[in-house]
Amino acid sequence: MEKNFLERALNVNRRQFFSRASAGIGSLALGSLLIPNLFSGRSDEDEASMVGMPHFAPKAKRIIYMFQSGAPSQLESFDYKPMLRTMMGQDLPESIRQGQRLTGMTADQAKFPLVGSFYDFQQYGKARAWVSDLFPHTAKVVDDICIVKSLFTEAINHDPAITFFQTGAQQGNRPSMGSWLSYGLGSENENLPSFCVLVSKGKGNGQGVYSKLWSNGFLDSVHQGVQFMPGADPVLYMGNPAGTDKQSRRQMLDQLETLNQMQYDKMGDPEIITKIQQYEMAYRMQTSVPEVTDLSNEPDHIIKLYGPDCLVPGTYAANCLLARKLAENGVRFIQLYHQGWDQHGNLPNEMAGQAKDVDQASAALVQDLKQRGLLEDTLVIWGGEFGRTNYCQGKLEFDKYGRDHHPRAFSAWLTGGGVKAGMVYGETDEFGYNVTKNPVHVHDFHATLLHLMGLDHEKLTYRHQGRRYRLTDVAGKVVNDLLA
Amino acid sequence: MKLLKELSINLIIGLNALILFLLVFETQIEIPEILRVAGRTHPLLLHFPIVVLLLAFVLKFFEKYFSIEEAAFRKIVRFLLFAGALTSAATVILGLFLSQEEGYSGDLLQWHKWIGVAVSFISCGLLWGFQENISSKFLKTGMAISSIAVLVAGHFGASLTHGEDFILAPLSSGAADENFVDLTQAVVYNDLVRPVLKEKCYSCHNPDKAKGQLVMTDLDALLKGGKTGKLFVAGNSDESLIMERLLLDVNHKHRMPPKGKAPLTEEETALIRIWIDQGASFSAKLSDYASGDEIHQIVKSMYAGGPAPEVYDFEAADETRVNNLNTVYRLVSPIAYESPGLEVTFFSKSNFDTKSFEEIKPVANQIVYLNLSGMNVTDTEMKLIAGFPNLRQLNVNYSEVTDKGLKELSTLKHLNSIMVAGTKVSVGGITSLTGLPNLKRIYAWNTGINSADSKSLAKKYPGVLVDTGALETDKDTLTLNNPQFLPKNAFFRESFQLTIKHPIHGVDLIYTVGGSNPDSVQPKKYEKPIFIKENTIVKAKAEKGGWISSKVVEKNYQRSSIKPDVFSLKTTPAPQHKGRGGASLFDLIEGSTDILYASDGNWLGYSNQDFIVEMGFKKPVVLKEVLLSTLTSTALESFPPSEIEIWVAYGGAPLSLAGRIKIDMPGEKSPIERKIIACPTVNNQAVTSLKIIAKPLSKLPSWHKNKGKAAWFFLDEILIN
Amino acid sequence: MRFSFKDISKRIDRRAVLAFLLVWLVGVAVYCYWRQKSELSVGVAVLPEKVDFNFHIRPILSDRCYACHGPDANKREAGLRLDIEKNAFALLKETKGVHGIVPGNPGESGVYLRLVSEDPEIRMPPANSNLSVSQYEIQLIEKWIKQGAKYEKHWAFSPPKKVNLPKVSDTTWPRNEIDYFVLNKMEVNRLSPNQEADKEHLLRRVSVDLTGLPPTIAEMDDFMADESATAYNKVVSRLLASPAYGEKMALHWLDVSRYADSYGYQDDQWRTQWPWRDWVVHSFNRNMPYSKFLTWQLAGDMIPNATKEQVLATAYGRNHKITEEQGAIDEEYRMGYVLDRTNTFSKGVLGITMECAQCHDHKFDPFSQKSYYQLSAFFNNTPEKGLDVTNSRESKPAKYPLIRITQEDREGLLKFVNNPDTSTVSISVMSEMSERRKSYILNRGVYDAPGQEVLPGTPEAVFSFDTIKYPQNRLGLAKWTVSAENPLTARVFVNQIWGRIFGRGLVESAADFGSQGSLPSHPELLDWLAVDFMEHGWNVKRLVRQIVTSATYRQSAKMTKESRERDPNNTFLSRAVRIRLPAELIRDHVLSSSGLFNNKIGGPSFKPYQPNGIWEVRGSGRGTLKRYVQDHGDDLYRRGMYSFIKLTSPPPNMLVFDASNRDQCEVIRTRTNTPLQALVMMNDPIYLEASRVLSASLLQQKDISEEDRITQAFRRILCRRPESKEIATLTAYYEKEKQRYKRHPKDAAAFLNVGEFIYPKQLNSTHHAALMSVVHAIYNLEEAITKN
Repeated sequence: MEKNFLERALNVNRRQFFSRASAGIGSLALGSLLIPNLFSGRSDEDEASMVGMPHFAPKAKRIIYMFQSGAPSQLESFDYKPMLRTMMGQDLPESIRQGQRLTGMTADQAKFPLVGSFYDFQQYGKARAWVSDLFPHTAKVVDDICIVKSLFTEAINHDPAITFFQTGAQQGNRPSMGSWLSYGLGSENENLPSFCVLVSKGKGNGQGVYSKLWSNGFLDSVHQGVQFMPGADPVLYMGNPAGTDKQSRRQMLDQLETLNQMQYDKMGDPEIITKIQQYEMAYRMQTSVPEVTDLSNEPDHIIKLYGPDCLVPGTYAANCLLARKLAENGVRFIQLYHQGWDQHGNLPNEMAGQAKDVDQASAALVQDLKQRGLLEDTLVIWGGEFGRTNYCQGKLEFDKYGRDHHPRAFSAWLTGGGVKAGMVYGETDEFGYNVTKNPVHVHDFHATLLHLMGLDHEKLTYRHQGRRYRLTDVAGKVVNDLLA
Repeated sequence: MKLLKELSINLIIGLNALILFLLVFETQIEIPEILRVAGRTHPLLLHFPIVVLLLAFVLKFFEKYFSIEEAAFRKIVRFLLFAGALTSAATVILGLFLSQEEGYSGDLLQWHKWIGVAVSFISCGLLWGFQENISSKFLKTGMAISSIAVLVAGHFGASLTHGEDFILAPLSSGAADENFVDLTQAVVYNDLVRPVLKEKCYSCHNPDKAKGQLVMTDLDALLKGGKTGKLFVAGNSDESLIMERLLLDVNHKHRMPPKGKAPLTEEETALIRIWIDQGASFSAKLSDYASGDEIHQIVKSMYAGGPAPEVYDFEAADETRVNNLNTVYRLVSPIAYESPGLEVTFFSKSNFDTKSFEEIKPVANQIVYLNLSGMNVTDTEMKLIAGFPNLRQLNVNYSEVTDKGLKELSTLKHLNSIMVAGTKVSVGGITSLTGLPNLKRIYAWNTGINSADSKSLAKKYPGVLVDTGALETDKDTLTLNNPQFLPKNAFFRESFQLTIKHPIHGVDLIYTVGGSNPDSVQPKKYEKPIFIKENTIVKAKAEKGGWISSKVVEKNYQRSSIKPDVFSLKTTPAPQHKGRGGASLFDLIEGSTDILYASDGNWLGYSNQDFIVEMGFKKPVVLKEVLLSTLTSTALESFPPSEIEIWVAYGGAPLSLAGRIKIDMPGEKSPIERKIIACPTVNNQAVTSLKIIAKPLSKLPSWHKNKGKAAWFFLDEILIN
Repeated sequence: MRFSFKDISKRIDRRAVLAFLLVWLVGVAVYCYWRQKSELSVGVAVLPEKVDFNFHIRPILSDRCYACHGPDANKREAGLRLDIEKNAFALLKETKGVHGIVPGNPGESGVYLRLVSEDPEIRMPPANSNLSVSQYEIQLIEKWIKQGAKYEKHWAFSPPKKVNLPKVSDTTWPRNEIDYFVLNKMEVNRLSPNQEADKEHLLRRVSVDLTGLPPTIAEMDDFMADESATAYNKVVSRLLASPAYGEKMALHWLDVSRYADSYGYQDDQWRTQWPWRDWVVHSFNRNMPYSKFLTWQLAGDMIPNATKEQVLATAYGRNHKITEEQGAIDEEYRMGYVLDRTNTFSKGVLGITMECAQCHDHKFDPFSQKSYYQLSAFFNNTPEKGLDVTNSRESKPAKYPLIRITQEDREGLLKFVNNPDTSTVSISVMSEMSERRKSYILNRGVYDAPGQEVLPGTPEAVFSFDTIKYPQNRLGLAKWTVSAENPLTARVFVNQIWGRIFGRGLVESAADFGSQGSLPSHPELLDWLAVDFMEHGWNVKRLVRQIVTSATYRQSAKMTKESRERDPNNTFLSRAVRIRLPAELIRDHVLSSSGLFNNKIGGPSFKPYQPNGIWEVRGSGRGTLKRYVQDHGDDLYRRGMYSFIKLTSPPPNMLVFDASNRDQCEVIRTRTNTPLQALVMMNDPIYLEASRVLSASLLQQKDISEEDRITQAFRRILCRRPESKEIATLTAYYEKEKQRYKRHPKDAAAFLNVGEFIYPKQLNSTHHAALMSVVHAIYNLEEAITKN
């Protein structure tokens, strides 16, 4: 160490001596011609230069995130815990709970009676993965997906938890994951938004989604998520006013261009040119978006694959089908939200309804992407913001129990673009309460997604109001085991 | 004569100054194209100084063997020295230029550089000395040094270009590349553990510099350990000194590597731990461990995520050229930062044609991913694609490609997956592809190929996956979803056209009017909108071959023929349920019942206070019926009013009570529903003004969980006929 | 062989050769100089004569070094701390005998050696930090050390000083003090001011800046007619006096204080904070001194026998989101509110981002985690609940503590509260508990990990909180904030106002005056303005007048290629700004130019046209704001700032134009240019309706030519007379459209059938539709929504 230092010092002094000694301004100057930024103060951080393309060869080019808002119970879906049935009604041992905090809803509950799943589980696929009877279609594709049973988070209420999953922080106005990707990778198809949002509602108890979940935060608002609405006008303000059509709109744009150009000649502000281009792009969107959102040409067997609802605008099934089309057309990040998973009571009943909404279409999407080869470079995610308690909230009836929020362990599944298929990752204790193997934190989850998209989550940064921000804040580790 | 001296000396000094300069600012220098060219002449030029300097040296040494007249000899030597100094200086400069290019770095370069520089300076000095007539002894040694230097420099140079130890290479057996680890073959110690030690420990624990008398570079020494004792106990990491040292707190003086040195990563530490626990074998292979074993995970995370991304051996295309190829309908971009490979995607069928496709030819060599999904790609384009030698993935889903087109692709040696879903290709075409050496996956769903074919193909070509897609869903039968009624509103004035819709094309819509069930009595098939002009119940369901019929949906349409010309609420509804005031009562819009509590802007809500509305009619109306559309929901504590009064008046006359009724309350189990409640009938008399008073239930019934609390009264419409 | 160069030497004359060499050297030297100059002129400097710590060195250290060698004690590496002179000069703990920095001798300074080291293991910053220090920056540091490595207090934390006006060579240009500072900077950077903007542009600009509304035709004509020297000042006075001024100013403050009409979490129900908003408008209009304005909002309730108005002002502290989610943990959220207040205050008023100190000591600024919780302790003493409904159905429009404003109040002191009816409104406000609630440092910033107890206090670095002078409560904090010694408050506000007018503050990072923030482009000017502002009783209108009457402000916005290259970001204000209007003002501009405008001030927010289903599909399906119930009649045409903000789903057409989503304190908005904006301008019904109505009112005017009509529309929207080629283009377009609608009368009818405003008179629908197309096109011009 010290030695090194002396060397350095020496070395430097020598160099200084040289630079003083360097005779002949001529050659000095001559040399100076070779130094591009001798006089400029700019520090060349590659951070900036890497924006707009993957840092390394990506496994996935786009993401479809089927977010199950409200937190579906892992114990009635993918985390099979027979023990809870045998111990039905007995109190959750403190040794397991380890002082985990409770929501206000169960905090004053005197007992925490364990309750097993009302639904049975079977094993499927090469991995012999357990899947509950509520998800027969998902069960058919287990060999294509990777079920993660060891997710955990800190938040215990919906708003912070969803915000955490979507923006990497529980509070505040951070950019959404989709915005980060749009910022980091740029758009693939310029004629569509690179970050699209599709929202649907289940009959179950819902918690709502908020536009801040797809907000661009401090990033440029071109990275803002664009919500596709059911019905005639899929993107807000996209439809031409009545009494006008493509030609007349073209007419108008031409006039605008002429006049704006005049203004530019006068004021010389480049923003004017940008404005002209933005109008042109808007014009192109008006053609490309309806093309994409038109589902009328889908053949009958595709309709059957997704289920008849896939032609009813605004349903989850329709959104899944639409998601596939958007993926085909080069949209980077397609965010689905299905609401209604917050089963504090009457869980067996409500969850059955929710599962019916999503099971077939989710599996269909995987199937459909696969048969088109799109699963090779499309990453698909299914999951909620946290899990649900293994004990009952409210009155315990074997067919009418409820479950409270549980951040410590929950399940989700991923597939496609670089994800190891046919695997079950992570384990929880026999109470399904704590992660016992391979925990995956929300930050790790994000880091892994970015990695699959060819981005180093530590290098994807944005400097705002004097601080560098990351989707993974200051944490996060790529979960290599999930990578194919 | 003197002039030439000055001139060339000036030049030589100038050049050497430039050398110094370049050395100092090396890090910031950027070489313009033209000088690069110059730089590349370095290997050519360098031969001059070598020859000239050696020649000078030889001449000088064997001075007496040449019988040349003194003066002339001096001239020759001086000339040679000039030439030597000049050429070596020039060579060095060009060398420095060259060194700026990619791929020159490392100690070799440093040595080569500094010695080269030395040569230049020395020969410059020699020239000087020669001018100043220093003693020929100095001169000789000087020349000797420079000659040796020039040789050494030359050698390093050669090793730089031809690889290290180029000369002796034939004798020594080539050492394996350290960085590359083939995990399938990897020997745990040699290929995984040793590299870690080498990187993090060797620098202090090698024979030359054995800190703590520990040498780790050879096995015996490693086993022997250092002055504190054995380094590790095979099979027991907890007892092993090395682990202790590795795990000590950073600031602890015995912590290894010491603070300031790069510490071992989590994985590296874990790796060493496991290696020791597994018996510290020097021969065990990674593959000897069960695939589930921790060590695999660690190794994986050390060699980030399994197989490293493919490295392409072809040159990158010119950046600006690539950028210029981008249009709004064509994406051409590097697959990653500083990768030569390109991905190309076309969008918008209407903007795709052979011309727009040919435009990417200039980067044909770099294209790795090509996505033509949905474009009308014909066999002509396929011919062109055959000229993309580095193509890995080709997507021609839903294009015009045929078997003929596929046959063209035989040249694509690197192709590993192709998508032809939704095209006309058949078994023939696919078979022609299976010849490709690297082809792994073919996606041929919705083509001429059925699952049977794919099975047989799979047998023939086990290496290739042919995906013919989803289980034939056509066969399984599903229930149709429900038809939809338009308009959605249950209320209408005089009459309206009822439309029945269904999202799926080609379904039959069966309906009845008047309450009978579409299955029972002779139902009608919906063709055109149905005209409705009085209170009507409509039921409908959807049918289609291959599907199970939908459920029956029904709707009860209520007529409200008269709208008061003026109306005013005499009591204001609760702030959270004030809808749009009185207007909501005559807008024919129903409040929804599928909600937990009424606040959709269509319900007016009253509690603890009577609902009072006054209505006026320009011309007298005869009231057949007056109905209140109300909401019943025990959960919302919403009940019908306990009693309703009707006041009427004709012309200017004051309002007079025309009727009052009590309403009986729903029971505990009653569902959430809209209830139409008839007001006391006003026996067919003509009126110009009408007042309705509805008194909300003052106390919730005893069975209600909030019994005693005042009930709500919600209404969304007043129907007058 | 014989080497004789005699003949050569004969031919070549020595002097010639030497001359040649000389010429070569001179040439190169000249090239160097020229190169330097050209570099200079792009506003980037060579190594400065005197390297300044605040302006050159701290930014580098802070950005690349403080993360590990800064204020944060827990993250500090190798015990080296570079933000404090003493520690930086000390012996390095890690390497014997080497000092971090040795004034005067970079060669001996460990810090420098680490920077220039070639050994990646030694070089700083380490590779894994993904940070790097450019060669130029290294040279700066080297020179700074050579010059004695003098540390200085962070500029923003030393009180502003009013320096004498700098000398300028062109003394004719300046109109007031501001201009001296600006011109001086220009001259130093070899720039010269743009000529003055023509009257038309000027009038539009100043009207927009002061009232957010375009001038009427009458106002334009008056101003054009008025040749007097005072013409412009008259206009300024008129605008400052108009009630719209208060609204325009309030808009900024609503962002800063995250005003909204709903609670923000989950069911996101309806709340009534709007009387506070009315108060803000009112306060600006009657030009309440900023010091008072702040004091009331921070601690109005604690002023001895406080009036209801003063209490109302404290709603500022309760504008934050409030949860109604069943199961939310009371304390978790209550703490959240306290911290939100703290952040809003420190960001919006002190211009320092303290939230970083919530979980750990601040990485870049001298704010310890402790000082953060000390500051928050001021706001931790309100008897509020984190979750004060057991059931979101019982949601009330305000949460305890609250005040009720009755009809009497509105007839008395609170006339400015514009309630539509006689009902009583309640507003969540602050109030102080008699006995102080204990406050703690929260480890990792989480509510259930309280650490050491703290008493209310302010960050030492800013300036110390004299517990004798100020009581340790919000009132004390208010006094401290507006004390003349406080180095930040005035600077920050002056900078915010400047930013809203010039599009960019003198300190670009208006919300971060800390060491990571950008440095003032005109430090002396900033200080001068700040001091002057305080010396004149924090008089806001006066400040605004100063700015808009300056020659700097009155420049033209024209950009020559040269000025664009030499001052690309207009850092040196060598021209007027040319920026898009903020979301709300676009709406205002269109409405008022079309004549649809409803200038009603304040009252409950209104619900404009909005595409169907947005609230419905997003919301939880519960609560008072479950469905979007659009308003009708006049309310539809109110100012953008009054459109209803439901936090979980703010007005989409505003977000598209970068409006704040009001989720948190926002000091500067981003300014972007996207295709969605084009879509809104082209298809949002309100803009079509405005076009319809304006064109109708033009058609009303009998016997004037189509051209006159178009000219009028042009003037009303762009506030200038069209040039002949512009009018020609538009008239041609009009003709084309007329032909089209003649051919398709149905289209005309359809096109005209937009919006709820009923235009009394029947008009020829072909002409009307055609003219409407033209007007709509003008609204879609870049200039129409641009301030220039």
